[in-house]
Amino acid sequence: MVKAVYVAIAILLFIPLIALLAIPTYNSVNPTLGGVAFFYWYQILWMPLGALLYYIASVLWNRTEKDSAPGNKPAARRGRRTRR
Amino acid sequence: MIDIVSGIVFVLLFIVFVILGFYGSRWRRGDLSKLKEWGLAGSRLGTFLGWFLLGADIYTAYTFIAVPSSLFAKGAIYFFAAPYVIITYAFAMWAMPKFWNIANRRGYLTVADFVREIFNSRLLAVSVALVGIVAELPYIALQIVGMQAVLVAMLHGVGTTTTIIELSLIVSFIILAAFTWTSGLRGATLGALLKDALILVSVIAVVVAVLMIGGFHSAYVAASATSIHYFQLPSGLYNAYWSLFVFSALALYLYPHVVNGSLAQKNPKTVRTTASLLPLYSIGLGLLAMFGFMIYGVPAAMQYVKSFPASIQGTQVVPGLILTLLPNWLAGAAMLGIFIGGLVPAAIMAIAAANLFSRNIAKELKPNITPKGETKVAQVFAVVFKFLALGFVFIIPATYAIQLQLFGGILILQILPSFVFGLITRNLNRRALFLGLLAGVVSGMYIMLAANDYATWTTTLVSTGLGPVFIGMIALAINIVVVVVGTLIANAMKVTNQVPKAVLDSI
Repeated sequence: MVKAVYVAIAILLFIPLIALLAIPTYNSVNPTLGGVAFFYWYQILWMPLGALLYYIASVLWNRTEKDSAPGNKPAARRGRRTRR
Repeated sequence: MIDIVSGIVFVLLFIVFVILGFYGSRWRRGDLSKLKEWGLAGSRLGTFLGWFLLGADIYTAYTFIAVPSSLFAKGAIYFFAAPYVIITYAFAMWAMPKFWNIANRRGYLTVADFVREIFNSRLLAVSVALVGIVAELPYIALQIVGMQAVLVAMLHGVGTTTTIIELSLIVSFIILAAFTWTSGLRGATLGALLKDALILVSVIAVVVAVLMIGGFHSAYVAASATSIHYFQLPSGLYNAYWSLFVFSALALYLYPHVVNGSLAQKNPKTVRTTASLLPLYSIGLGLLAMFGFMIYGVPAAMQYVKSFPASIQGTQVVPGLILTLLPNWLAGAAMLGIFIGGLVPAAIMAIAAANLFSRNIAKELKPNITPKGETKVAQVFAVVFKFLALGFVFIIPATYAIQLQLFGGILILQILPSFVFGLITRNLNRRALFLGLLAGVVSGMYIMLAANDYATWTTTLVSTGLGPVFIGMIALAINIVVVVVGTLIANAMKVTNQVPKAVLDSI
């Protein structure tokens, strides 16, 4: 079960990378949008899309991961100073 | 070009910004004589402020000046910055929460702290710290170039161009030094809020203005008539394009100031959520980058840009569009946004470099330094590093300022094996890591010099059998080969890092 979640997270994180690595698929002027070349608006479109996919991944990931630092207050999580 | 209204708005908003900066040192009061308070804002930032602070770290004069400038000078290839500021956050979502947890458990403030302990090597830690510091310098220099570009635009026509350029540089530098000294990371965060609001409004205003005059179409016609490839990549540059964006993406979260920004957040889940939402911030970068060709659709702005010497023309693209298209009051506000868009990140970077120096270098030399002394050293060196950064301003013509950041990237990538591989495995040999780092830095610098024919730096690409590629990728490959081969040899000879068992267990 947990494994499936991590696979889903990995897929969500890799989709934007793959879409952007496929340079020949978007390296063109047409179709333009409001006079802007496809090359530009395609990559800008991936910013909100990327944020959406990453945010979903982040919610899944945060839910799955155990709380390793439960206390949010600085006083509760003073790490031991290792070097004096 | 400048008029009274935009000048007054600029100065008034700058005063507001300075007040915010001073208020920052009082805000969520902490003991500023402690390094963690001055340098990490006490590790208390939530998603909202953390998002703005990291935004300020990442969207800097690089975004506002350097990217549009290089796109203007060289065309579509420099739009690599757009995919870069998307995929870097996928990497961050994995690496930063992991590092936050370890750092919190073991009391690390820097990557060098971490490397020192898990690989049991002071040499490696000091090297990682040094590379981090040196890599920040050109990035700081880039911010100074950005601030200078704004002042040059504001003072345009007041005196001779050369005098203005020099005067602007001095003023930028003094303001920067004074600002960093007084308030540390807190002041910077509040300043970031103001900056982002100003920039966002003005970027949208410019894009709308260009749309309304049908500027995109006329820009397309005019820019297509030049010899520069503005609207698509020449096929020979595919490898250059992806190597620039992939390796810039890997480099970003290695920079000390970005690591600091991550550690300044209150918990690892916040770190992850913040990173996942940062691509939204990138939309501004994407739009600004397009200013580099949009200017062809606005003849008045083009005429303004052409009135400067070629070496700084690119840096005037964004100021030129703002000053010609926006109403005076908004232009003044936008120019201030860009000015503090260089100032705030430069302060954050200098603070990060100084943190590293104080904690991982000064402390190695003088182990019994007091916490107060530690902070004082950091404050002093934050100023020293800015002076050193100034040196880089003169190496690269301002139009090519993006090369400053890319050169920093070549250097900082070399700590990737120690830091990122260190998050996954402890089984790398410390001497191999050190030699790899050395090989990466030396080869990266050598290739950089050679690729520019030992003259002024205008590129960070080098020609290979695969066409031009980013030098950072090659240097990192050399580094990793040395690390892997060295580790295999060490394993064969049964040499270990001799990390104390207690340390291994606790990580």
